[in-house]
Amino acid sequence: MEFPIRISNRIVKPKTKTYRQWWNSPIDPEDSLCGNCIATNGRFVKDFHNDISSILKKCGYQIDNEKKLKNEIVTIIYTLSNDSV
Amino acid sequence: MDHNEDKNYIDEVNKEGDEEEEEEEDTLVTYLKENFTLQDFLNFEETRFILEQQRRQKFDKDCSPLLEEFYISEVDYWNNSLCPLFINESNHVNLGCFIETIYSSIKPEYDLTIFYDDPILAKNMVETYETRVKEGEAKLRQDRINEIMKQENIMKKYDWKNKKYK
Repeated sequence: MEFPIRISNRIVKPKTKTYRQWWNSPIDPEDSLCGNCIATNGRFVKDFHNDISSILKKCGYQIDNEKKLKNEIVTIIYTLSNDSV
Repeated sequence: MDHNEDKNYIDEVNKEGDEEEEEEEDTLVTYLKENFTLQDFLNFEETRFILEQQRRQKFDKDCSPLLEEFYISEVDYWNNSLCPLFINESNHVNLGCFIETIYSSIKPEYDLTIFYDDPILAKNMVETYETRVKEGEAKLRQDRINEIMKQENIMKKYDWKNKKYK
């Protein structure tokens, strides 16, 4: 990643799930229903990415490499999140 | 000549001077438009720097505030909930990283208007153009020669018995 993510001076829980497990697991095990579907981390990442795309479109910008942006966004979110509460 | 005539004469000379200057500037703009492409501006460090700087300023003015607002609201929302999303982010220290990631993934678009408004900014690019083109051609020729020299062994037969090229 070109711009390294910094994690502040706090104790970070080690990851207990694989990336794929994290992607498919609910954001919040207590409140995981969003309408009829489960609000998973993967779904959140997709929505987050869509929101960014809308902002860029609104400002008149086009994304050069969609796949690269998706990968980098998910890296940011995954690194800054724990996989359990 | 009385005072009024003096003033009129000076005004006339100034007007002519301004007109000449404007005409000269128009010629320069037409010259730039007809002879140089965006790639020519990007190939020269000084003009590329101006274009990149202008592109960044436009992004910072138009888009960064919206992205900042979005990132801060998302992080704050999830930090105030009991969910583990963005739990390792504090004081939005990664906001810069987030903005840079997005900036680096947008399609670069440049606006040459700055050079048409002030052609003097492209003076060095225009003056060095011929020399740079000649240097580029010479380098290309040299690279080709080097490549051929490197491939010299391909033309030779390999002597498997003595394990070397003949």
